[in-house]
Amino acid sequence: MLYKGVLWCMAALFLGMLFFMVATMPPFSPKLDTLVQADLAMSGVSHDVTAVLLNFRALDTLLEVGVVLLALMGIQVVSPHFRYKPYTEANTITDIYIAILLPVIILSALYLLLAGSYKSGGAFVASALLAGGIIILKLTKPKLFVSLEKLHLRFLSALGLLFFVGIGVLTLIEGLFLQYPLSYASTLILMIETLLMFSLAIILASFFINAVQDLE
Amino acid sequence: MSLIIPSLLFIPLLFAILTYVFQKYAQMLGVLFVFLWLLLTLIASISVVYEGELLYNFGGFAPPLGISFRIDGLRSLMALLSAFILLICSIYARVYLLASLQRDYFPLLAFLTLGISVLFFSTDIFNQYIALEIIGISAVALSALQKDKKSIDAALRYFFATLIGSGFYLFAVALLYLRYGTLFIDDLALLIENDFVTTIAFIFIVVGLSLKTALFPLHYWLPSAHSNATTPISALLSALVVKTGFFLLFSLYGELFWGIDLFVGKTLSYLGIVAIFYGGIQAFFAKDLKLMIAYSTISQLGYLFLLFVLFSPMAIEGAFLGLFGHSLAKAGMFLSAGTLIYALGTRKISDFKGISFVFPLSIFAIALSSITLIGLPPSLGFFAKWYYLQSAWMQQEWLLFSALLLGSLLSALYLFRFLILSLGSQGERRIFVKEKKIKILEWCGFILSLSSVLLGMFSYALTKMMGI
Amino acid sequence: MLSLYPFVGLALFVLGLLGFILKESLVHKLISLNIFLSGIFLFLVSQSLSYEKADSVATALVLTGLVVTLGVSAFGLMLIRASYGAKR
Repeated sequence: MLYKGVLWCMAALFLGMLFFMVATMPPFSPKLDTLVQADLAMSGVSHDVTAVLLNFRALDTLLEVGVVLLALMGIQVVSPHFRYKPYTEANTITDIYIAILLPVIILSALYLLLAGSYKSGGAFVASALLAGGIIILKLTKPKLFVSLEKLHLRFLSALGLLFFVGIGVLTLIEGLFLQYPLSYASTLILMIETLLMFSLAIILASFFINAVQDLE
Repeated sequence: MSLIIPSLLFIPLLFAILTYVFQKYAQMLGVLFVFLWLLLTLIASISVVYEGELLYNFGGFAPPLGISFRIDGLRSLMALLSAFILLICSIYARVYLLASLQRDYFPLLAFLTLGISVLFFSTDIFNQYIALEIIGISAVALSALQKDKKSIDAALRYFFATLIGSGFYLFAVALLYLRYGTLFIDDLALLIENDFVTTIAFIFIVVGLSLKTALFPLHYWLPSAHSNATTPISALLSALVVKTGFFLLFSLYGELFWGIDLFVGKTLSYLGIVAIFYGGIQAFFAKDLKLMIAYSTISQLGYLFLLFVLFSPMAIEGAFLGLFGHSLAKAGMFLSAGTLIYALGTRKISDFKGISFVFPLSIFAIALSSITLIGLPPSLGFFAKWYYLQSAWMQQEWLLFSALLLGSLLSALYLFRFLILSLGSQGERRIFVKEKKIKILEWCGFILSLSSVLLGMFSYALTKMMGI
Repeated sequence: MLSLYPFVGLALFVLGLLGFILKESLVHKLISLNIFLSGIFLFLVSQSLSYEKADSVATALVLTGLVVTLGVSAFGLMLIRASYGAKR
């Protein structure tokens, strides 16, 4: 008990110190933001956050997709421990529910993807939504993706990253890594985002499905 | 020549994807990858020698806006060293691991390489955060590769430690960005001031990265993770993964915080002294061979942290010679010990009595590694300690000076305990059928240990290449 | 122009850390760590607000960090389950 009390007191002191730090901190000067706004025309998209994510700091995004794929690999390394059989029974209510919900989910995901070029949105948000759709589908129809070959599944989940790296290598022909030619920039960004959306949706859904896959 | 830097990024990424997707060819592709990687880092080092520092802006945007890579002498040497160790460990793993484990090993290894390469070369502190996470996840997944209860629990402790460590680093990055408005390390170095926010960010960086590097009070995760992983992975973790945290701490300290630091560097060094003795004593009393080597890693990491109070060019050269020596020697020692454990089926130190008559090459390798770890001439460890001692003498840090001498004595004690046992008379005559497999395993460990001693003769050239 | 959100972010940061130390269950620990990281993100994005507009680079950093955190915590959860599964 004493140990806990001391910890709480230390945490309170620590928090007070951090509060003091924020209160006395000089105001933030958005130096990089002005640079971003100045170079926005060169990026091929009109939304500043998307421009930063997929053009100015595209390397970060490339590595981040790598992290997500790596997490899937890690999960597949430790997964054989806990496969169990999911509940399977035909059910009219969930069938109708899926028939209504799934098209809406796909449409909204596509909208979010396209909206990313001029306002908040983009591949990651869209892929999260799409992954939710895939998970619902898998929960209501457990037998659906069982016949899909593992090799194809792995290929699909790596496709987005592979395409991204491929674009990077292609841009080496006349420029630096991931330096999109200005006239193609918006097309390339849109293509990368679309493939990333599909791949990420499959990876995110696999995070879940790996845990509830039925024993073969 | 402009192709070399991007290929240091996309080759590991490409091979990670290929080995993951085409599991059937994973082993072939993986071996191809480690050879290609050694070649690439060799080309990079040679071009640094001839052309000086290499710079590359990704996406064609100059640093404060975009992300750039920089390769100088020290970074290229670190990459070359890691490529060499990766190569030998992968050959070992190719022979040692079951085929089903190799399928998982090679994609994770490629991702680990990617993380190491980005961490060494990037000049953007947020980019280095992602590299830390890549290294963290792939190292945790690799240490859980065996899938038994012990290794998964050890991996879990390691996972929490590495997640907290990179979280602290991320908080410090956020503070630095909010204070100075940039993530580019050269800009930060120009702007940095001695104020409250910067000090807090510095402390968070130090705590987070010492957690990743297992400095003394934060070392709790290391012995279990390093001793319970399967052998080639223990070698990789001890030789490379803990060093990445140290390298990041060193580069940030040298470029940003050195001028404004009053007490943190001293604290780190004194904790390093404690770590030298704590790790040494634990290693002396360990009953498990791999656990002994893991505690020896804690002790040897303590020497690296002595750098932060001296921080003269000579001390930096000494620290990195020591780092190279420890990486090679520790990898060699883990591999040789793993071979013995594999052949005998036991990990208890007392069971290795008189084993040198059966496996002379492995014991020779361990002895060579011991020469480096103790710091006897002509090994890398000797020159590291020599540079350190000179630097400590000149700066009149007598505590460090005596700790260095006594620490060598302590490492001699625990290493000789094992060597004397293994060189002693055999209790009962045991006969082993040596498969061809074991011969390859023995040679892998031997090459690493031998290079840690022989490279000591080139330590002057190495310090010149570092260009400090 | 002192806003409340950075302070909330810092409070979450400290509480998450405290939860990590005090909670016994591994899942609690992981959730605490998620709170800890979310605190950092909230702090970063709210402190970078100027004239009611978020800094684009800070937003991009937070988005990147969120996805990284997502991957890491998914992996951590699976590791925890594997650890419990291996007990059986």
